Amino acid sequence: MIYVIHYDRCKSETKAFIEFSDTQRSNAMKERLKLEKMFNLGEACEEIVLLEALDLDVLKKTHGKYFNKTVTQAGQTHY
Amino acid sequence: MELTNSSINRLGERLRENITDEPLLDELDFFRQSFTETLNLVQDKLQNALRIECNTRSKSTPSIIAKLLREKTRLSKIQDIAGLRVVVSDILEQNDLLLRVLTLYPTAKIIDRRTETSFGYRAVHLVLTEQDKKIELQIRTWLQHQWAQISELAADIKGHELKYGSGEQHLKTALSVLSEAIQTREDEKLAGFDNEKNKADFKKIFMSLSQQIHGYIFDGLNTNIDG
Repeated sequence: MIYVIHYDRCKSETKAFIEFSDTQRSNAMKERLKLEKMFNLGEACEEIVLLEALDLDVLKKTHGKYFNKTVTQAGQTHY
Repeated sequence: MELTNSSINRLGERLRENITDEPLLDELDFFRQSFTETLNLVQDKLQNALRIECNTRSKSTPSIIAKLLREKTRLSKIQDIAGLRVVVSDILEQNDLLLRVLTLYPTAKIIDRRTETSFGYRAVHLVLTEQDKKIELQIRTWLQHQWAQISELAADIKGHELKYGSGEQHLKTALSVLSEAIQTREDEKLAGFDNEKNKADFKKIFMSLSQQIHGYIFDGLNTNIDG
């Protein structure tokens, strides 16, 4: 799955989360570019990212900040 | 549109000047897309040969601009335009995975941020060469990843200079102490001193420091971490 995320770094807040299937890669890239043009110009807080993962759970594990999961909230712990 | 080192570097120069008009964003996107096929090939190889779950990402525009400004490097030389991240349970698994990746990519450049930390950041990064392109693979332990996420949150809210040695001193100190505590815990594991008491003692320290750092980040506001 491919995910395009619009994140406000200053507020630590995900503003948009759009999911694409693996066959919709070019649509996902177009969406990222469209959002970058809308939000990136001169706005240091805005971040548009394109991530790819097997599924949402795997994505949450490696990129928890976009789900507001920063410490020990997501799944298994390994102290 | 043809991509040559010169055209890529000219693009980088304009980004460094913080010119982010629409044609430039189109050009940057074209450059980033040139990594897609290679990135997916590397991901498939790692997943199929090593049975690991790794996620891909291509570097965001603000991150590329920040790196160009910070490191005064050329855009064509940036090695993490496209990358993968794997989070493994502990340092033993990290070492094992590192060796397994090297069987697939014997010439990979290893950047071991566990021995040479970057302002508290610890992980193993590998720069893999595939189809004449550089792809960065980050291998983090769960603990290293927790630290990186807290540090990222702090940098987002308090300023990205925190990740590069500047910024609020109390926050830098707390992040540094947490990083050292994690290193000590991981050294214990490597040395075979992984018992329940060490684990419980470390968990207390980890949670206390994490809570403290969240307090600093949000200036004493109630934070949302569990125990």
